[in-house]
Amino acid sequence: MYWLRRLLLWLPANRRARERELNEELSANFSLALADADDERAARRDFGSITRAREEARAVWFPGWDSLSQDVRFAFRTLRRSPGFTVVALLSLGLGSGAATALFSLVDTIILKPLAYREPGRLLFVRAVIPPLVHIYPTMPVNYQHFRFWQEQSQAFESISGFRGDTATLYSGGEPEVIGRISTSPNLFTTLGIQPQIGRTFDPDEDQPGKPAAVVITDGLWRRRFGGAPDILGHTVRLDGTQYSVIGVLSPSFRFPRKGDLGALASLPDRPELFVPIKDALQGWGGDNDYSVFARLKPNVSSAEGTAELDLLERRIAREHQLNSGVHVQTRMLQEVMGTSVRTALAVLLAAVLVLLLIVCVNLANLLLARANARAREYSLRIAIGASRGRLLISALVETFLLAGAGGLLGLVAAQAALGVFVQRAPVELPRLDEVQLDWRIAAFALGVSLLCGLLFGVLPALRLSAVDPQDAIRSGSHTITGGRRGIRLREWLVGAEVSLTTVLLVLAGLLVSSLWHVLHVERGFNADQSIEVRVSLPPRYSEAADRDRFFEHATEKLKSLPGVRSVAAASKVPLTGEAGVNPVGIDGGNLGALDPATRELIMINVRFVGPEYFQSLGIPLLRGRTIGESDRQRSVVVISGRLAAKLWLGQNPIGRSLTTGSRVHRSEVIGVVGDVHTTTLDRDPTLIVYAPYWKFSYQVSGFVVRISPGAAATAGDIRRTLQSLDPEIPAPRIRTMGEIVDESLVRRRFQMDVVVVFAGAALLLAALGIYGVVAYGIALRRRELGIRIALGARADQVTRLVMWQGLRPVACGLACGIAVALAAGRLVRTLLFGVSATDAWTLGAITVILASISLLACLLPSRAALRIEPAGVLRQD
Amino acid sequence: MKSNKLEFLQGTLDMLVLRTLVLGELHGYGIAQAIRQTTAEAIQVEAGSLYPALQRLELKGLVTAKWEVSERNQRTRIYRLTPAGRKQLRAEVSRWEDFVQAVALILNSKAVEE
Repeated sequence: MYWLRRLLLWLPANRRARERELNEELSANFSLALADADDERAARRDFGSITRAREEARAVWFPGWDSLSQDVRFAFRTLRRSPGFTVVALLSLGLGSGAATALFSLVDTIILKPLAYREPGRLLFVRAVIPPLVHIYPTMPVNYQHFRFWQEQSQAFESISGFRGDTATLYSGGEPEVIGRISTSPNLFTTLGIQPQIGRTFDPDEDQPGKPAAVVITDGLWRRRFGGAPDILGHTVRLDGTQYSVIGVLSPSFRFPRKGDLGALASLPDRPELFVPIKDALQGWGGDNDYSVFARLKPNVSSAEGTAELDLLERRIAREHQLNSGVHVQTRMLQEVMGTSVRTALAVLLAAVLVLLLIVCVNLANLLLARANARAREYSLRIAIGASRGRLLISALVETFLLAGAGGLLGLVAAQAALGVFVQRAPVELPRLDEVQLDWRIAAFALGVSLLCGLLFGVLPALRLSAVDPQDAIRSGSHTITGGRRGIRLREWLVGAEVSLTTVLLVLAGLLVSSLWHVLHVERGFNADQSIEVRVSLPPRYSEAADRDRFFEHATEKLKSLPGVRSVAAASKVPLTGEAGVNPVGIDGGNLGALDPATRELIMINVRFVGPEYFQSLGIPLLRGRTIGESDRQRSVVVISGRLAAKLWLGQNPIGRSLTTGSRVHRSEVIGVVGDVHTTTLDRDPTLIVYAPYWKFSYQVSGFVVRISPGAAATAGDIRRTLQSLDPEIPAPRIRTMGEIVDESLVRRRFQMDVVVVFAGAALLLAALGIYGVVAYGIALRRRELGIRIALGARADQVTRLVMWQGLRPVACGLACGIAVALAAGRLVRTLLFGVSATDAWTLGAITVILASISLLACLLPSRAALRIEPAGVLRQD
Repeated sequence: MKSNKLEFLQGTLDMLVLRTLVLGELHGYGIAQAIRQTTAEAIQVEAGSLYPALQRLELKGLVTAKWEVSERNQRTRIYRLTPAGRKQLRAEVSRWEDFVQAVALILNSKAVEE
C-alpha cells in the first residue's frame, strides 16, 4: 500500500492535486493562526515558513530526487576532472557497442526482418533435386513444364509462380541501357502478395499469345528513366525488338531476389527492374531446369504437406512422360533462403564482434577498477563522514550509467558510420543490403549493449569500493589499502582474459590474410595484365544467326585495327565470371554421360563459345594440338581444357578423338588441349571446359576479349566508339580489365579479411591499453617498495624487470590460452580458409611475435616511470 | 529564529504528532498549538517541519486526513490516528524511553565522576 501510494505520486495529475491540496491546507491553517495572533507579522513568525513547508513536503513525496540530481552533477564533474579516463572509457564503449550495433542491424536486415511480402511465412522457394546431378548441384531450378503441371494440379498451394531472369536493352527514356529483366508467370505478384503503387500487375491470361505485350517496372527504373512521370501507364517502351506497354509501377519498398540470392543456376540479373510475362517457354519435360519457383501455401497447410504433394506430382510426371531420373523437390522458406549465402560470413563477423565486445567489457572493468582504487581514499572519507554505502553505490552507478549512456550514443554514431562504409564496400551479393538502416530498435540495441557493459562491469568496482573500511583506508596511505593487492590480482586476470581473446581474433585475422595471399598466388591459368573484357548486347535486328556472325566477324576486324590492340576474340564468357553451358559429356560416339574415373560420378563440363584468338587474348597456354581457326567453319571441332583431357582419355593423346555434348556442340573432334582456368572463384578447382567456335552458337556470344600491348593507347572510349560506329543502336558496352574481374571475384574474401583485421587491430589496441594500465597501476601501488629498492642500490634493469614481469605474466598466460582456444576452434573457420590449415604454425608464430612485441612495448612505456621514482621523496611521504 | 527553541532529534516530531492525535482528531494548526501548549511553549513546531511530517505519516498510513469544517467554521484538513499509527506510537514511545534511560545513565555516571 505504502509503495503503491508512493508510486501513484509520480503521476503528474496526482502530484498536482496533492500540491493544490497542501496549498489549501496551509492557507486554511494560516488563517486560523492569523485569527489567534496579535498581528500578521507575529502570526507569520509563529506559523513558520510556508515555502519551506512546500519544499519539504515535496522531499517527502519524492525522496532521493535531490540526491540523485546531486549525484548526476557530481558524476559530471568527476568525469570532467579525469579526461584521460573518460575519453578512453567512452571510446572503448563506443567502439564495442558501435561494432555490435552495426552487425546487429546487418543480421537484422538480412536474416531476421521479414521479407516485405504478404505473410512471408507461407512463401516457399521450390528447387528440383535431380539425383544424377546431386554431386555437382544438390538442387537446381525447375523445368517449365513441371512447374505448369504443379500449377494446374496442386491443391496445397494458393498460387505457384515460376520466373527466370536475363537482361534486355531498353531504348526508351534516354540512351540505350542494359536492364535486368524477369520473365515470369503472370501470377508472381499475387504469389508474393504485393500491390503496385500505380497501375496494375499482370492479368492471369497475360502470357497468352495474342495478348498485347505488357511490362511492370520498379520504382527505381521509373524514376531513373522516366522521371517518375505519372502518365507512364499505357506508354509503350521498346525493349530489345519488342514494344511493351507499361501497365504498372511497383512500390519503392519492393525488393526482388538478385543474382546469387536464389542459389546455383538460378539465372537472375544483378538488378531486376523489369517484369514481363513468359511468352516462349521451352516445351520439353526433361532438362532445361531454368525456372525459379515461389509457391504460396494455403492457410493451415504445412510446408511438409506442400512438399509431399509436389513430390507426388513429380512421380506422376515421371510416369506420364517416361522420365526416370528420380526428380523430386526441395522446399525452403523464402525467408530463410535469402540469407543463406552469407550466413557463414555473418557468423564469423558475429563471433568477431562478440569477442571485441568482451574485450571492451574487460577493458572497461579494468579501467573502472583502477579508478576505484585511485579513489578509495575519497570514498573512505565519504563513508567516514557519514555517507551510507548504498548512497555511495548509487553514486558510483550513476557515474557508470552516464558513461555507458554517452558510450551508447557514441556507438550509435559509430555504427551509422560503419554501416555507411560497409554498405559501400560490401560485396554486392549481400542480399537486401539496400534495406539496411538504423531505426529505433537498433538505437535501443546500441544503448542496451552499452548500458549492459557499463552495469556489469561498473557494479563490480562499485561493490568493492563501498566495502572499503574507512579506518584502514584513511590510516594507511592511499596506495597500500588492503584492496590494492586483491585489486592487482583481479586486474591481472582481466588482462589475461583480454590477451587470450585478442589472440583468438588475431589468429583468425592472420589465417584470413594468409588465405588471401594464397588465393592471389593461385595459378590462374590466364594472364590478367593486358586483357580486357568487352560485353555488348546486340539490338534485336541481329536476330538471325548469320547477322550476328557477320557482326562479330566485322567487329573483331575493326577492333583489331585499333592502335595497340594485339588480338581480339568473340567470346561467350571470360574466366571468373561464373559457370554457363553446363552439360554432361560423352566420348568417341558413346552415349552421353562419361564418368569420372576417380569418383564414378557424371562428368559435367562448361561449354564456351570463342573466337580463334581467344586463348592468345587471355594468355591461356596451348598444351597440345592447335587452336580454332577460320578454316574450321565447315567442320565440328572443339578445344578442351587439360583436366578434362586427363579425365576423358586418361593420359592418352586426345587429339583427333571425338566427344559429344549439349549446347549445340553435338559430336565434335578435339583439335587442341589448353591450360585450365578458374571459372567461378580462384579458391575453387578450375572448371572442365569445352571450347567451341563462336559461330556454332553465336547467340551465346556476349562480347569480346581484347589484348592490348603494354602501355597501349587504345582506351575504353575507342572501343565503344568503334562498336557504335558499326551500329549506333548498340548500348554502351561494359568494359572491364581482367585484373578488375579478378578483384571482383575476391571482393568477398578481401572484405571478410578487412573486417576481421580491423576487429583484431582494435582488440590489440584495447589489450595494449589494458596491459599498460596494469603495469602503471602496479608501479603506483609499489612506489614505496621500489623506492626502497632503488635506495638500497637496485640497478635500473633490475627494477625494470621487476615491474615488467607484473605485466608480462598475465600476457604469457593469456597468449597460451588464446592459442589453445584458436587451435580448438580452428575447425569452425576451415571453410573460410584457403591454402592454409587452421593450425598453421607460421601464422600462430607470427601472431605470438606480434602480440609479444606489442605487450612488451605496453609494459616498457610505464616501466620507465618506476625508474623515475626518487627514493628520498617516497620515503619522506606518509 | 529564536535561539531558545529546542531542536528536534530525527523522528521525534513524528512521535509527538502521533501522541497529540491520540487525544482526538485535529487539524495541522491545532496540532502545532497543542504541542506548544503542552510543552509550555518550549517546543514550537514550524510549518516547514509539521506539514511535511503530516504528509509522511499520511503516506505511511499512520494517519488519515479529511476535509472538514472546524469548530471555528473554517474548512480544513482534519487528521485522525489509524490503528497502524497507534501501534507505531507505542513502539516509538517505548524506544524513546529506552533511549532516555540510557542517556540518563551516562549523564548520571558522569556527574558522579565529577
